[in-house]
Amino acid sequence: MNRREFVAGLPIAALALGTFVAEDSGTELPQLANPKLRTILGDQRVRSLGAGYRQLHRKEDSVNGLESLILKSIGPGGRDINSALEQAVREDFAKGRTVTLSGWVLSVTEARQCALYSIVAC
Amino acid sequence: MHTDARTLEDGSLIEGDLCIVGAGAAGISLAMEWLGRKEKVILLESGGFTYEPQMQALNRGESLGDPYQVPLEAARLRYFGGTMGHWGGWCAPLDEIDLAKREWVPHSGWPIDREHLNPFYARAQAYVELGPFEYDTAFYEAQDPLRQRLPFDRNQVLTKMWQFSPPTRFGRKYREPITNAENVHLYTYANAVEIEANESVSQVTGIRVRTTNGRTHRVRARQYALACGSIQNARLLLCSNGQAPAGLGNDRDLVGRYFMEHFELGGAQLILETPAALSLYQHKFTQPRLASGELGLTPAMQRRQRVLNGTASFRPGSFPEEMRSFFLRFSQDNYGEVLRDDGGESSDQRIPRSRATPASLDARRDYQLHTRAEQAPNPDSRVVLSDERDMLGMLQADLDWRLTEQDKRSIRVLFEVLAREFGRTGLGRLQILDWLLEDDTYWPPFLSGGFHHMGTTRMHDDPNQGVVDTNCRVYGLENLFVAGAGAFTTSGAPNPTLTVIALTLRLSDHLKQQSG
Repeated sequence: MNRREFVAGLPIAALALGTFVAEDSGTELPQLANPKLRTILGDQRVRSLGAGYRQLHRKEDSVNGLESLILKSIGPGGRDINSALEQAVREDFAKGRTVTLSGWVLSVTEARQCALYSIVAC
Repeated sequence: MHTDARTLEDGSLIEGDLCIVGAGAAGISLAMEWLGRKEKVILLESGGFTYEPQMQALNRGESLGDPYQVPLEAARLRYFGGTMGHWGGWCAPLDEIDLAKREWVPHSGWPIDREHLNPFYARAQAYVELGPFEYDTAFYEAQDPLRQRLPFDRNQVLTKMWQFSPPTRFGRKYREPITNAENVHLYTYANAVEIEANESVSQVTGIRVRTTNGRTHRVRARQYALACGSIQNARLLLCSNGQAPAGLGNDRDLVGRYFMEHFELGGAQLILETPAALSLYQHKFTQPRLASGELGLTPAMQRRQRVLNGTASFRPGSFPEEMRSFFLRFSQDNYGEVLRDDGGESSDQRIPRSRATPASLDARRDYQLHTRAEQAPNPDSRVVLSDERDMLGMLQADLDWRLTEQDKRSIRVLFEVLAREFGRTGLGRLQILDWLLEDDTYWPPFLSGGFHHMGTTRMHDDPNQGVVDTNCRVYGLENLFVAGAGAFTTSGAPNPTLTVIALTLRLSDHLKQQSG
């Protein structure tokens, strides 16, 4: 099973609850594709913002591409991934690494998470 | 003393020491400063004591440039008390940076600084029934642990505090002391239509006054102060061309230029991660009106981003689909009715119901962010004379309001910085409204201002760059002065009333000194 097939098979409800445990040992995809932004802006808006990001950044428009970019932004492993993501998002804002999607000013990391979510949750 | 100028015999001569033209915030506070003195003060007011459409019509003029959405006859009030009848009571001083020369803001730089103005601000507080001149955020935080500023980077974002006047309606509050004063003589229905100068145009020799019942009078004084608002002051100077063809004080074609307004409109939607009351930033219309804060950029950040000053206020709720400015909430027909406050009526009538509900101040996640922003001083933004005449035969004033890309970019940058701070602190996310993301030359149909007319007779220490000098004296004329927002060199972002009064008190001191 390739990654796309794996992702396509992710149960959306599990993602929504944030309780999914990856079968593919070692992958952080469930966490990466579960932006905290969903709690602020809601699933539908996050999905739509993610789709918007993918349209603007065609080269990144793949699960692998987005996953690797997000992982790069959170740096080496060894940390709790959710904390690392939160830290990366805050650092993005602090350093001005933001994108504006439908007027929402988002960190690049969380925008990519939205993009990943929009693929996974389709 | 008070006289209705319509009752005077045609051709009357009115004599005094100081003639003040206009009885609004500037004119009344100036007159109040002279109560009980030996000098005789003549205070000319165009209207009476209440709102009258016929008098308002004398303010009529066209909007020629970028759309000024409110009819000019509605933006100012022509009766005793003046446009204080519109006033919402918002008070804050200009920031230090507002008066400074900013190399990224062409034509900026007052010839006086904020420290110089401080004692006048302190005195001005009493005129609008406020307590101490205290605008330090920490002072208010120390009073209430629940009212604290947002944890933003203080190198980038500041919280600017506001105090709130009840608001003081000058027409009501100061009518009695002025009409009872022995040395102040108020003339209502006395419309200044021309300032007369001597042959060498170095001194004002009199003011011609007309009434709506066809009478013409003349006022003669030693000193004259124009206090009828930025547009009408410029109009009067430009119309006074008996000795100076281009108008008085206009040798350098500066009268009417640098007209400025504040941009007041919605700019961004905020969604917080968890509900919060943002108490320090909540402006309650209910009494007593506690001081409240707005977010702005620090001077260092303004310098780094090369932007104008401005602040963002919070209002509970989300923006509706259809954005409407304050101006556009009312039909063209009922401006006067909605905006006037000529005695006995609550100022709350101008407050949209949705903003007046105390329940809306509870903790919540969604807030609208509204901007209150400076307009760059721009010589092309100006008041010009029309070909049309009013019922007194005086040429009307048209407004050619011109906005710049810097005006708009500055608002966008403010919200971008705030968006980053909300994100960095994890408090929430900001959505910048579409109109701000479009081309910087585009302004939306709901563009609105605060009825804050400034400039047109700006203060500068170089007569090539200003109409009045540091003492608010019109260059070239030894006894003609301007009181009010017309003398502002730059607009800053705060509502101008407190600064208008402070500058007026400063002018008053100068006039007293001259008077001996």
